Order: sequence, then C-alpha cells, then structure tokens
Amino acid sequence: MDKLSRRKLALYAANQVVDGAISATVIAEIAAYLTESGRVREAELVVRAIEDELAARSVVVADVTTAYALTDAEKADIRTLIGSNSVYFRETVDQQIIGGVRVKTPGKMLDATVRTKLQALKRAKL
Amino acid sequence: MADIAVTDLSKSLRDAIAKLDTSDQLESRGIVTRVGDGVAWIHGLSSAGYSEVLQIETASGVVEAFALNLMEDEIGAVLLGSDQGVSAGDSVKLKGEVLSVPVGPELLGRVVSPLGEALDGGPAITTKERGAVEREAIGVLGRKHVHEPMMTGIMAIDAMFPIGRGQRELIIGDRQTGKTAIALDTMINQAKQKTGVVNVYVAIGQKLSKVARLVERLKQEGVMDQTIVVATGPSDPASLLYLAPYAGTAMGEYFRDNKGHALMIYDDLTKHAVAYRQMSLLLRRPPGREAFPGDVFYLHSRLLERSSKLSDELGAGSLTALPIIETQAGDISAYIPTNVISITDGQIFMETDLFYQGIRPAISAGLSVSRVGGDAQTKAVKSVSGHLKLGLSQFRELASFAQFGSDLDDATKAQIERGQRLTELLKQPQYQPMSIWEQVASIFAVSEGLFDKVPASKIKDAQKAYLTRLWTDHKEAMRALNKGDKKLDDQAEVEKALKEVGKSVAKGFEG
Repeated sequence: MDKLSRRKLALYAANQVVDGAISATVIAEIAAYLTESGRVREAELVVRAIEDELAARSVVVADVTTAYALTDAEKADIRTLIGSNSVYFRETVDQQIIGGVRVKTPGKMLDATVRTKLQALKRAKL
Repeated sequence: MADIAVTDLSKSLRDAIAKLDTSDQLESRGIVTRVGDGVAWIHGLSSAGYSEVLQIETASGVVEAFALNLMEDEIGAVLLGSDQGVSAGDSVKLKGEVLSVPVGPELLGRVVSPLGEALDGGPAITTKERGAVEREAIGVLGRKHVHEPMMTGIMAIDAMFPIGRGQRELIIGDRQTGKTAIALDTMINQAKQKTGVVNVYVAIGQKLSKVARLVERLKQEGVMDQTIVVATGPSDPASLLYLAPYAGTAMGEYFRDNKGHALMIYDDLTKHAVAYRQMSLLLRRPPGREAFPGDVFYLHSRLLERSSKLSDELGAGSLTALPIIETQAGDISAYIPTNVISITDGQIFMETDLFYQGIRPAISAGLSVSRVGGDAQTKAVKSVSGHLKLGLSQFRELASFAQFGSDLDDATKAQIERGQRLTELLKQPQYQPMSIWEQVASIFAVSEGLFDKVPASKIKDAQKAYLTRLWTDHKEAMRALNKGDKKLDDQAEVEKALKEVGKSVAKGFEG
C-alpha cells in the first residue's frame, strides 16, 4: 500500500465537505487508514491539514474564546473580520481571559483578550 | 451514516479510531529475500521502525535481528545471532519493541553478553527493570558541572590530569602500553577507597582469555562485587560488538539515574568502530575516510554524551567514562583517534618509549590533558601538585639536552635532578592504587625538596620508608589528610609532620 500524504488525505476529506459537514463514513475511512498504516499519532495533524485545506476554499473553522457566550451580532462581526461567508465557530467560554476575544483560524490568530493586554502591560512595566 | 460538522473533526476522528475493530489475529509479516555475512534483507514489514527488533522464524528456532536500513521495499537487518540457520524464504515478524537489556543491582558481580545473557555460568539474569540500549543523552538543564573527584589511585593521573565524576577521559596509546592497566587500577581503587562507585567494564572484541584473566583479578582484589562486565569476543558477530558499549551504558545509567555513581570503561572503541564499519559496508552504505561510514562520529558522540553529571533535581548521580583507543605507531591523527579526542573531555596519552624505559605508567605529560577535572581535584592533592605538570614537561625537554653531557649551570642541573626524582616518584606498580594521603605526602616530599639529597635510584625505597613511618607515627593526621577536603597549607601540623619525617627518612638514603 502506497503511503498517502496528509495533504492527500486532507484533499480527499475536504472534497467531501458539504455545507460545513462531512459524512461519518469518510471519517471512519480515514481512521481505518491511519490505524492500518500505524499513523494514529498523526490524527491531530490530519485534522489540521483538513482545516487548512478548507480555509483555502473559504470555509473557515474558527476557534473563538470569550469570557461570556457570543451574541449573534458579535459572530457577524467576526465573520466580517475573517472575510468569509461560511465561518463555523468552535466556541469556548473561559473566564480566565477576563474579557475581550481570541479568534484562531487556520494559520491566523487575533488575540484581543484583556488578559493578554494586562500581561503585555506588566512586561512593559518591568 | 450521519454527517459530522467540520468543527468536530478532531473529536470524531479520535472516536472513530478508538471504535475500530482491529483484528489481533492478523499481523504484518515479511520474508527473508537474501542473507549472508550476518545481514538479512527482508521484503515487507513496511511498518518496521528504525532499530526495531525483528524475529526471523527458522527451522531451528527464532533468530533475532534489528532493522538498520529502511528502504522503500526492503529492510536491511543485522542478525543478533548466527546466520547459519537463516535462509531465504523464512518468515519475519516484528517484535514491537526496540532493543533493551536487563538493568539493576542484580547484575553486579556478573559477566553478561550485550543482550543481557549470563556468560559466567551463573543463574540466568532476572531483573525488575529493563533499559533501552539506545537512549538519548540528558539535556543541558539536567546536568551540573563536574565537581566531585573520581580518584584513579594513580598518582600521575590524580595529580596532573584529575578526573571528575561525570567526565569522559580518553585513554589512548599503542598496543601494550598499559591502557587497560590504568582502567583496571581505577576500578580497583573504587573498591579500595570504598567510594561506592559501580564499575561497568565493556570488553569489545577482546580475547576471551584476557577477559577471563581480568575477571579473575577483579575477584582477587575484591572488586567484582561492585562490577558488571559486558563481554564480547572476537568470534561474536559484529552486531554484538556494536551493541556492547550501548548495552553497558544502559546498565550504568541505571545507577546514575538512581542517585548512584558509575564508571564506564569501553575497551576499546577502535574495535567498536571497526565492527560498525563491517556492518555498514555489508549494508551497502557508502564508505568514507578509512572506509568508515559517514556517521562514525555520531556513533561515538552519542555514546559518550550519555556520560554525565546529573543536576541535584535529577538526584545528582553521575556516569564517568574512560573510553580506550588503540593507536598505530603513536599516530593520534588517524580518523577514529581524532574523533574520540574531540568528543572527550581530555585524554591520557600512553607512550611506547616511556613504557620501555621502565617509566610505568607510561603517561606522556606533554600530550595528556584533562579539560574539566580541575574543579574536581581533591583540595589536598591540588595544593601540592600545582607545578607538577609544567615541571615534568620542562624536565623532559631539558633531559634531551643533558644527554650531550655538556657543562650545565647549577640551576639547570638542579631542575634535571628534581625531574629525575619526580619521574621516579611517579612510577607506580600495577594493582597498587594509592590513597589521597599517600599521594599528597609523596608529592610534597619531592616538590619541597625534602628528598633532594636522595639519589634518583633510591627514591622509591625512600618513599616506601617515608610512607610507612608516617602511617605508624602519625596515623590520625594521615587519616585527616586522607579526607582530602582541606589544602595542605591549612593543616600546619600535618605539614610539620611530613617535613620532619621526610627529613629524617632522607638521611638514611643519602649518598
């Protein structure tokens, strides 16, 4: 069996994505392939590769961390920030960031949390 | 099947992997396509890892091998046993682990093979733990500078080229110049001075009669109880010679990692490089200088880097290494000697000329060096041996002039005479390591000029009488001196005793 690169796996998976969803069969296929070829450790990297490939097609998976749950207006703002119509949110609520928002997309990040700003101030003071 | 949102990919992929029904009955198999010279070429087993153990099923049982060449459709594996029973078409499976050896205190006093099998006729080795043969060295933060002494008991070394725990000091010289003798004396000294340091002696392709003699001697001297001998003979396959130092190091590392101290002796790394060259050439790797493969430097650097002094957080254990290299006609600029010299923290260079002049141990004062041992030298020895190395090197230079018999001024004459006395003093018979107080007292006597009227030929006798007198008359003072933690200048009474006894003994040997 020829070794399939992560890029090829990602390309295959990305082609199956319709409306921000993918068939569970495709996921099962990839899982079986990784197990069979002893590359289970690469699972996370394969997911990253799929998200990168989707981002290239303007389908963006965004990790959004906020101190309080996002409102629809805020989501719309983030969509404008990212500049894509099909943005899918993976939301995390974390009180530790105090306030503001952190948006991570494949290869890019916006860190506008209060916590980071405070830390920057602290460093500047030292 | 249901659809999965792109935001849940990671979790669902992990779930899918966990839910897969793997059938344990189906395992990957390969087949031997060619075999010869201790190397087997295997087709299949594409999931094999580097250095993974393979099991070849032959008509006469399982033969193990480890994978060293991973190519697109073929694996080059080196057999760990005889290639006699292995034939093309034999089935091969993965053992699923890299090479490991038994480690632990159970090995003390034993003679074992690089695979951890007993060679001394004793019961089979059973230990609680196993250690990986190939292991990465400790990183920067896990280390501490070398600061505790590793006394060899050889005055010339402890005074001029001190070795510390965690240091790598190369012993290099031609054949028959007393390289192994130095290593052996160091092992004996660990038992005599009760330092608690564990010795691991790795014989790489040594004549088994020599190993047997060495083990016998270690038993006689009562050192074997704190020694592990890893033995390979000239008739063992090259793969075992290649593995021996790594396996021995794994055994030593157990003590290092458990707050202990161990001393590794690799006798010798020249044969190790030759064994690796044989394997590499048979695996069709391209030869480089002296036909050694390109990674022969890495072969030794990764081995010696495992010797280290650990930080306090990791238990402050240490692994000291005394690798041995045999040169041809004193040529230290050959490939392997230069490599190992550059890896180690110094070298003890043995000279054939000195050896046949009767200056034994035949340590060259000019070419030997210890790069990190200074901090580790016991204070007492350090306080008396400051100018020893320089004085001895200058003497050797002056002595060549003196051979012409021309008129010399008094200062030069005095320097030559003191040099002769010093040379005599540093002569030391084998198997007689000296304790700290003996070394300090002896060096003090000569460097302070107490023995200036004793002819060089009688120095050894005078030294013997002097040490005996000191021990009988000033036992307590000598015990204190033996701790070595204070400079001699700070111990006025001891210094006075040394002077008095030295002067009175010298009178008996004058003329």
